Amino acid sequence: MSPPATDLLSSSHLLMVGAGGIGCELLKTLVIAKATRIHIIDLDTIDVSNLNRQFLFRNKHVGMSKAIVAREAALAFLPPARRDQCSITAHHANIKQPEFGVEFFKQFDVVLNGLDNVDARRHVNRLCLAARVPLVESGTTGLVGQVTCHVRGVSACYECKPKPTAKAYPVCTLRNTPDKPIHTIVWAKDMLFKQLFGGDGVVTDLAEAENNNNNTNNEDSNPQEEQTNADDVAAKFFKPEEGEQPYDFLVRVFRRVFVDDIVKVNGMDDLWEKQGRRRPVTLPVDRYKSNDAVKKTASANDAKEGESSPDNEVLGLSASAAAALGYDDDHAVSFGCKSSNADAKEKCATAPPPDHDAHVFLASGVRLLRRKLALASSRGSDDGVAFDKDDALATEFVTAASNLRSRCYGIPRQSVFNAKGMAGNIVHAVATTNAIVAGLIVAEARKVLRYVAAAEGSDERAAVASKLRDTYVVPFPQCPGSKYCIQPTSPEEAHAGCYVCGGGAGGITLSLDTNVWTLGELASFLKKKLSMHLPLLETDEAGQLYEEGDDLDEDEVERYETLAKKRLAELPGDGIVDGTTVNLQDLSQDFNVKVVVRHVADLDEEEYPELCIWDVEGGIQPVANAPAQEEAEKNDGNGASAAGDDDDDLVMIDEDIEVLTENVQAPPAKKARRV
Amino acid sequence: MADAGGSHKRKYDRQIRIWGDHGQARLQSANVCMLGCGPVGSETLKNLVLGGIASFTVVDAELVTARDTGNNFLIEASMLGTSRAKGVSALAQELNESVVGRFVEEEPAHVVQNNPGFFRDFDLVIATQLADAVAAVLDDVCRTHGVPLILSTCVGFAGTVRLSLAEHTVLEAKPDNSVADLRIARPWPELMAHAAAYDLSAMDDVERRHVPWVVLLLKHLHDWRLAQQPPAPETHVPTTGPEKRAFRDTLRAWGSSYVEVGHDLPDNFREALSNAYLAWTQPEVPSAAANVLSQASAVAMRAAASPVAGGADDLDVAPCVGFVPSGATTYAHALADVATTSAPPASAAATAEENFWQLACAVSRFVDQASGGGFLPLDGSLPDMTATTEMFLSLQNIYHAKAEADATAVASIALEVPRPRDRNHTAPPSAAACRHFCKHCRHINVLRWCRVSDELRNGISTVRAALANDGPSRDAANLYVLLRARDTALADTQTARVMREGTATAQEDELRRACGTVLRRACAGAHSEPLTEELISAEWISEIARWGDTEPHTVATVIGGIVSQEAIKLVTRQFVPLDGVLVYNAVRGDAAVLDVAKTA
Ligand SMILES: [Zn+2]
Repeated sequence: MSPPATDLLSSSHLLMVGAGGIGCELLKTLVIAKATRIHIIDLDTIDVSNLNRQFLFRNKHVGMSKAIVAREAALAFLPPARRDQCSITAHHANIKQPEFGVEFFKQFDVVLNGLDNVDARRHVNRLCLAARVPLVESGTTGLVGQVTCHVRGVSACYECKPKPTAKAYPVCTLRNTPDKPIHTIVWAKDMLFKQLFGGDGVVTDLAEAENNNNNTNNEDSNPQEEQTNADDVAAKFFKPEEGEQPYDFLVRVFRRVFVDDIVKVNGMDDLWEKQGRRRPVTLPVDRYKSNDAVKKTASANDAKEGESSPDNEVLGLSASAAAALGYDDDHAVSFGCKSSNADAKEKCATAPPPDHDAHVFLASGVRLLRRKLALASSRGSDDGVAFDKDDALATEFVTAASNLRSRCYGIPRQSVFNAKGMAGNIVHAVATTNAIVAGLIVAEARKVLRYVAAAEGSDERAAVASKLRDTYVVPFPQCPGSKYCIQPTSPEEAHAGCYVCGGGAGGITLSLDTNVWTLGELASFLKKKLSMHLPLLETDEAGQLYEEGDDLDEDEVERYETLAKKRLAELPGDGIVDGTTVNLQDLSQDFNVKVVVRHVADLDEEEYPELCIWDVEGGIQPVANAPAQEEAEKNDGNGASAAGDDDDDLVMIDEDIEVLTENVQAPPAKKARRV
Repeated sequence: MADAGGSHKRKYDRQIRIWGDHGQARLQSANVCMLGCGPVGSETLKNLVLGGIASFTVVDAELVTARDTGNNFLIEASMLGTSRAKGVSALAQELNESVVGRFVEEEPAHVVQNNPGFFRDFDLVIATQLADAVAAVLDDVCRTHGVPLILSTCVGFAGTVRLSLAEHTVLEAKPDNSVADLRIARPWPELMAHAAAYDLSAMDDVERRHVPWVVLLLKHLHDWRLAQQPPAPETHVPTTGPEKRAFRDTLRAWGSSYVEVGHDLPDNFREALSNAYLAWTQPEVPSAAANVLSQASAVAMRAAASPVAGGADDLDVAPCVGFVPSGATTYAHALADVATTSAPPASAAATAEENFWQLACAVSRFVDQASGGGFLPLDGSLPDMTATTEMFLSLQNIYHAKAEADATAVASIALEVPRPRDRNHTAPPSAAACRHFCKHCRHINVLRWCRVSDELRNGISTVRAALANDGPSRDAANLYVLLRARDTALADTQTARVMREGTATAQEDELRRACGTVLRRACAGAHSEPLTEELISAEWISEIARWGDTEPHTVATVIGGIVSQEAIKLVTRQFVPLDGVLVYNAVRGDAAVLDVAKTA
């Protein structure tokens, strides 16, 4: 019952991954608890929206490295004598970099995760397994949180239970038949925004749209080549012409996406009444286009006078266009009327001024385009403007564009606040939960360190192992039984069929059309799906077919590039066809897995947006209704980025805590869908 | 100002997503008093300052010791020997420039006993490591002023958290997993008619596969009633196990009749099957809400009759005169008062909360009247489901229309409910406020805590069952008694010396004796079996004795997190706060709530 007489924390070597919400709390608690040797890795820089909980950071640190600032802040408040004994090494770096390989991990006694995305968590899990270092994993969402304990030979690894992965939306829904706000938001962010403001050579599904529809069954001419040319033409449309004013360009884009494209899709008769859908309507572009205030806002630059460097110009093009137009950015209603009268505001919320979205679209769009051009001229290459949820102009543009599209389709419009949450996969976060979770991590880490310190096979080790716990924090009174829930449970047992820690026992079957998928598409799909970093792909028949890494020679690169363009069935060694086993390896993660490919043609895109069926043999399906899953589903827009990119997130809650009335029925396995 | 508002929105974005603008506005106008700034006090303070409260005032008379520099994040080595209150305030203030920080270098017990008026103007008082007797006095003072109080103690690897106020109403309880109120078992006529208009046999396959499962269940329940021998009335639902099984089987058979043999059921039928239990789930008023409604009329009437609104507890204690404690220095940061004093927006949410009892009374009458038919106003939400857009929207319209009609009915009843006298000059709650209230009324809640003095009298006898039985609360009950006993031992100068300076055995003996004292006191006058110290685990006695007055930082982090979480619940008036005494057991790593703080 007694806490340990000697605290192993002070003599152990700790690795902290993540210096965000949980990380700040954890680092503070560790150094106060007299930990003396800590490495901390975080790729992120500090944003204003971190300051409500990441208390090692101040306003003046915005833009600086989290890991480095956290280290300095934590050391600064230690008494000088303790400071000399405490060694914190900060790495402002991606955990996936090669220097943080198995050898690096082996030097630690325990790894403590305060990460924000499943992808990095899986990577750390694999390295911990390979280096045989125990992992204490954590996450919070709002007032809910958990700490889990992953010790090889004692408990499950992080991946024994499949993690809910990003939700993919069928491209045809996004392109032609959206019926939910998220559909128009993903369209605005991943198609329109990227197409307009992305770097040179970016082609999104927006530009591909019309061609694909016509080309489906056209096998005569070379469809690939034709497609490429058509894409170029379409993509070109979304770049300003020689001498075209940014404002005129935005008006042209407006006319294209909210008038011409809508007319076109309206003409596809089999999409509408037959499927129980309402036809979309076009927007009256001429009504919006010659508004002087909009033109003035679009052409304004808030850059400081007298300095006309491109950098200054870029800085000057980040302020809110909506604010400049005098539209109120309330959390409840975007671009509403500025009014202190609550009733007027409410009226505005239910029936928003029809033109405001269009005004903001044009003004913020012009400013973003000007920023892109200024950036390109200062950098010498056009890398474009990436969508950033904390970039006021970017979220405004995406909100306005998605609201306009929503109006075409009769979908409810969203406030900037909501649209930002959906587009940026924002996870709710507050200091209180992070503090509780950090305290629990340290308590669990102490036990894990006693386990590590005890001799292998000893009674003491067994005794400590039996005391390890996964702990769930659930706000009162939502969990029956024990009321305030800091609820320890025995850790899950390892899943024998786990394809990560099960020693090759688990298999994966992937069904897809081997005559359509290319090797390149397969490789990038598998890389993402399996959170691999540097995948190597081979078959018994053909040997290595695909590899990523910095140490490839030119011949190899060329060979892999050629192969990547080939359809699976056309690959050497009889191709990857029905029944072929693909061996995947990632040396950087010490990870191997076999994937059996099954050929299946004509998968319904509605039902299988990824155009394949992913089946983990003997796998446990993620709990469909757990609160955490909700979070995870919000996790991604079009499946373009691997996971949520906020600081603290993704709680996996045990299904036991679920409060259901009687008849605990499994929720529908498949997400409800609408046509 | 506008700029500060914008940057606040960005800074607090992630938490505004939890409690909304109105919750954040409440937090930003909260003035918090913190008694004692050891590790738990400082951790709590840190979390609240980060969240953006308006101001804090630390009351603490200690000077910084070497131990503080090792276990308190808001203490720096350079502060050694200086005022702890001053040091903690300075560092806490640095965490958030929008928050005003003040400190008072005075013993918390001294302020409580000598300057009760000091507490009048706070929105929340948090007291850490306070002796039981002082806590009881502070509790009385806070109740006099209507200021909520949170008490927290940490002794080594054990800690407690307890809230105390006369009454706290919750409109936005925000339950994580609320089952949608779809009224399938008891449809209203328009909903019934809507479902009846669907003729699956006349549809093509695509349409049929998109009939919303709500409609499928409504139709199937209707058919089930007709199929009973004799046909069952409109309110009848499957109740027995065989009836429910049969209901599911026939539903499955119905769906299968539209697909070829060996094929999967259509998605909409699968969804209907997994939601089949809703066919026999009566739209009952949940017990917490029923509890509110049952007393709403009486409370609203009393409020209307009394000059002060709301409140079930007696408010007739003589008002205290506030004054600044002698010798107190006030510290306020220069950067401070930016946009913190602005009142929360007069939003529908705020109006609905201000008129909680009046609207609860209206809802209660609505439920009893023909318009409600025994049910709460409908919240009108419809979960996503397989359906064509048209079908979904028209079904949603049915639910929206009913919710709107219910809210309108509640609004007109509300006009008849007498209003508190101090609000007679303001407008009655708006339609939007009524709508907001109706939307949340299924989860409304009222909590009332007994006075600390009452808990000190009755708490131990309340936990006697937990003490005797080998249940999950046994450790918590042990710790509860031990902390009371420890407090008793420390209250006496002589035993306190033993507790602080005696040998380990002497400390344990003293603590064991004190356990006997509090246990015997607990059964004085009761007719039940007397309780003795034998009930208390020897192991726990030695642990508590050994821990002394340490506040290990790891434990303080967890307790401070819980205290600040509860503080936020009280201030934002969202989520259901802790209604008992929480005992955190860091050895086992769990937390249990003992039911010792409710009103009798
Ligand atoms: Zn595993």
